[in-house]
Order: sequence, then C-alpha cells, then structure tokens
Amino acid sequence: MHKDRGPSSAHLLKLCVFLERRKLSGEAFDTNISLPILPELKDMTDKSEWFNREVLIYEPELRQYLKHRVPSNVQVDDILQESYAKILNRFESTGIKNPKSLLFRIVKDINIDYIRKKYSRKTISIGGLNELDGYRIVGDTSKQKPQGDEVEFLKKAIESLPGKCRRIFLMRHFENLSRQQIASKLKISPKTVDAQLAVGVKKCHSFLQKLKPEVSQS
Amino acid sequence: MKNLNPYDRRSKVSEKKEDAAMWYTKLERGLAEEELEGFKQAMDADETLLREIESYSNTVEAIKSLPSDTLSSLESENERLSSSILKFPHLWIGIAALLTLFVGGMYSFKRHFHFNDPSLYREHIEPRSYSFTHLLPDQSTLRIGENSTLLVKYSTEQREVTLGRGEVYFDVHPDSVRPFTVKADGFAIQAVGTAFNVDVSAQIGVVVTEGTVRLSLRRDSESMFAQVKNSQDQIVAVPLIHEGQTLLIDPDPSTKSKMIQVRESTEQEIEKAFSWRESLVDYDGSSLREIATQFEIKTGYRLVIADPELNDFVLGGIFPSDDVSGFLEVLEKGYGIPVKRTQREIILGRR
Repeated sequence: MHKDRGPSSAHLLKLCVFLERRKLSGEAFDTNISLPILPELKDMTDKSEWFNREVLIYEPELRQYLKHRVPSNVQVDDILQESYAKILNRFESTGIKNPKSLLFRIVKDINIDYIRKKYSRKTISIGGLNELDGYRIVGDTSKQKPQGDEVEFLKKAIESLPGKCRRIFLMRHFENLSRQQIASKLKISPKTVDAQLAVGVKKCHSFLQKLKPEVSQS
Repeated sequence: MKNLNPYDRRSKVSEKKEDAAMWYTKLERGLAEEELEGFKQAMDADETLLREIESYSNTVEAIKSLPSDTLSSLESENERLSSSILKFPHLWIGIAALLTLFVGGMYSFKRHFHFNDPSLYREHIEPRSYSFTHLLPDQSTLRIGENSTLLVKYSTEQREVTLGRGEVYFDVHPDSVRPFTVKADGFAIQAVGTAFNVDVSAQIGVVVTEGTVRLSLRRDSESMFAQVKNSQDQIVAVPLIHEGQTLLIDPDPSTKSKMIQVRESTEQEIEKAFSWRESLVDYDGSSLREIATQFEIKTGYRLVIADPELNDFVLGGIFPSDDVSGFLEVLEKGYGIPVKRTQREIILGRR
C-alpha cells in the first residue's frame, strides 16, 4: 500500500508522526532531539512544520468523517497514511495553496477507491489474482456455508421476488451475465436491469431480516 | 432538524434503503465515471449509506454461497418462467399452468412406466486403451483420453459428469435450464457455455479454450462454493476461469490442503487440450471405407456407407474431427453424395 511513497517522504512522514506523538502525549517537546545529519534536514524540518500546521491538525475531523464511511476490510489509519503520503508528495512537487480542501479530497478519493474495489465484481479479475502466489483452500469452510434452515430462508428470499425481478437477479448473480447481456437477452434497457437488481437485493434483504435477522447480518 | 411525522419518517427510511440498494447495484457492476460524482455526494450526505450497502452485499454473498443444486433448481424454475411472461403475463401464466399440469402428468406417467427419456440419462463410460469421442444426448461432445473413467448423469435440472480418472475435453452444448457440471476429486467445475479440458492425475488441471467456467468445492454429498484464501490469508472470490486460462489444483501434503492457481495457459497446455483434434482423412487421400473405420472414434458418430459403390471413393485434405458438419457439406455439395444424419449415425448414399 505504501510502496508508491518515495524514501524521502517516508522518512519525513515518520518524523512528522514522531514529533506529533510527542506533542499529543503532552510530553515536553524536546528541542534537543538528535536527528541524523542529512543534507536536506533543514528542508525536512520545514516540511515537518508545514505538515503539523496544515495537515495533521485536521486528523480528528478526518477520523470523524471516515468513522462510518470506510469499508469493513479497510483501516482508517491506512487511508490516512496513504493520504498523508500523497499530500506530502504533492507539497514537494508543486506546492499546495489550500491544504485542507486538497486533503479532504484526497481522503475521499482514496476511500471511494477502496469501496469500488471491495464491491465491484470487475476488479476481482483473474488477472489480479494471478499476481498472488496462489490460493489455499482452508480446511473448515462450514462457517461460510449456509446450512439447514438458512438454506431454506435464502431460497425463500429468492422465491419471494417477482418473476421478472427474480429472473434478472439470478441471471446476474448465478449465471454471471453482465448488465448489457441481460438487457439484450430480455430486450429491456440496462437501466431497467439496474433498477430490477436493486429491487431484488432490497426485497431479499428485507425478507431475510423479517424472517431471520442474523442471516443477512452474518 | 425538521420534525417528521411517523409516515414521513418511514418513507424517508425506505427512500434511503432504495438509494443504498441502487448504489450497491451500481458498485457491484462497476461504477461508471459519470456516476462517480453522484456517489461521492451521496456518501457525504449520508453517513449510514455504506453500512446499508455492506448489508446488501452480505445478503447477496450469502445467497451466492447457496449449494449449487439449490441454485440449479432455482435457475431452472426461473428459466421456466421464460421471458414471454414479461410480455403477456396473464395469458402466459394461464398457458404455463396448463403446461405444468400436462408436463407434470406426463413426467409422472413416464417415471411410472420407465419410458426412455433423453433428459433423464445415465451412462457409465468404461476406460478404453485409446482416445475416442463420445456424444451425449444434448449434443455435448466429450473427447475422452485413454484409460479415463466417467459417469454421466442427466436430469431435468442438471447435467453432471463425474470424472474418476483420466482426461476429457468437454465441448458443452448450451442449455440455460440445465447447467453442465464436471465433478472431480471433491471439486465441481461448472461450465458457462464452454469448451474446456479436465485432466485428473496427481493434480487437477482445467484448460479453458472457450467461454468461462466456475469452480466450486464439494464435500460429501453437499456442495458449496470454495472458500479460497490467498497467500496473505485473505478470502478471495470464488475463481472464475476464463478462455485462455488454466486452473491447477494441487494437493499440499504438508498441510492437507489444496493449492489453487489460475494463470494464463501455456502453449503446451493449449496444444495438449487440442491433441484429440486430428484430421478425419489423410492429407494424401483415404477411401470412405478407411475413413469409416476411425470415424466413430474421432467424432462420436458411426459412419454407415449405404451405397457399396461409395466404399472406394477417395477423399484427401484436412478436415478437423470437430468439424463433422463441414466434412459432410463437402461430400453433399461438392460431390453430390446424399447424406442423412441421425442422433448417432451418418448414412452416406442411398440403400
């Protein structure tokens, strides 16, 4: 995740965070901190001050914004770190006139990227999976698999859908047909496909919640 | 904040849920660039939106993890509804009810009297010391490698082939009502209008040459979608294997688990998958009598020469064994030989 960040910004970020932690923890700010003697030290200290003054002060606000808006598989800290790295790179290359607005824009964009990656079937391409070493089937799959009543509930949820809606729902989620393929097969518009899929997921969800709330929450 | 009466509050909640369902649908199929700004605004305006989207996503994932036999029955019920229902609901519901009564009656009648029904087909294919081609009742074609054993089971809901050992190339005839599934060593490979090669030896190898296949895991008599973890121990999507890709399932004796890999097929794998694809005739020429001796092994059809004068008719060139129609067209249109094709036989000339 942090591999895009150059060595200088990584160093700088670490330094900024370190200085900030000292401040937040209420310790006396030690002006005699022994830092490595680097040629860009003066420059780094300036950046560090700028970072503390213009960026880090918004962290509580950003955390509040992100609190309910990040997908469950993503940490708020990861988004913040990635955003800080980006804004520092931007500061180094072009300078920044309005850091607050840029910071919020970066944070939101990164978060939206995570959301799109998490829910979009397009991003789960085999090409992407190939980059990893391989896949291991774990021994116990029983927790993920619906069992007994749960199978019946889920089946009933699909059966409860109106004919047209059920047909489109199954075509999308079991036959893996694209929105365009469904539209041309049924001679309807892609927008109708979207609308019917949305009705389908909403109805299934409400059906399961009424019948057995934990099915949809698990 | 403006006070809402209970009715307004309910309709507000319902509106929010509708929005969330719509955004989930859009995210799932991939958000278009022009929809991005709208989504950002919706996210800013409603801090509960993502939680709603997440709960819809959980619902869909739970439904998608239903055993595949449940899905098949739902899919077939779904197909039976047919797109015509969308056009003339009342008329077609009436017709459907009559048809259901008729088909249901016929089905019980046939079951009771054990009539030969091609949709209820069962066949055990014994190993042979050579490769051969086998046609199934739905016109799906199997190119079966030497010493391969398999069991074919067709029902009104599904088409299922269990591969005990060996190698088979499947050319699947599309049937949206009955999915085509190959079972091998605890795994189920489901075709989505597809041609693919399955090799069961120490490892299972699937080379997809056309369309897409879906992998699921079966244990005991139950079926379930495989829960697959990547090297970082994160659960990843059930693999779909597309044209030009190879799926490998390797046992890992140290952990008693299995490694699944999906990667681009190598040239050798594709070549091997098509190794059955030889010409029906010699390039320099073969007589129809000679062609007939190997024809069934190569194509699955028995070649019957009804007119004895045609026995010594010589034909040369390259005719791939999966292009029976092309071969027959040459005989019929090029040389004026009458051709009659039945379910399992091709008859040349008039008796």
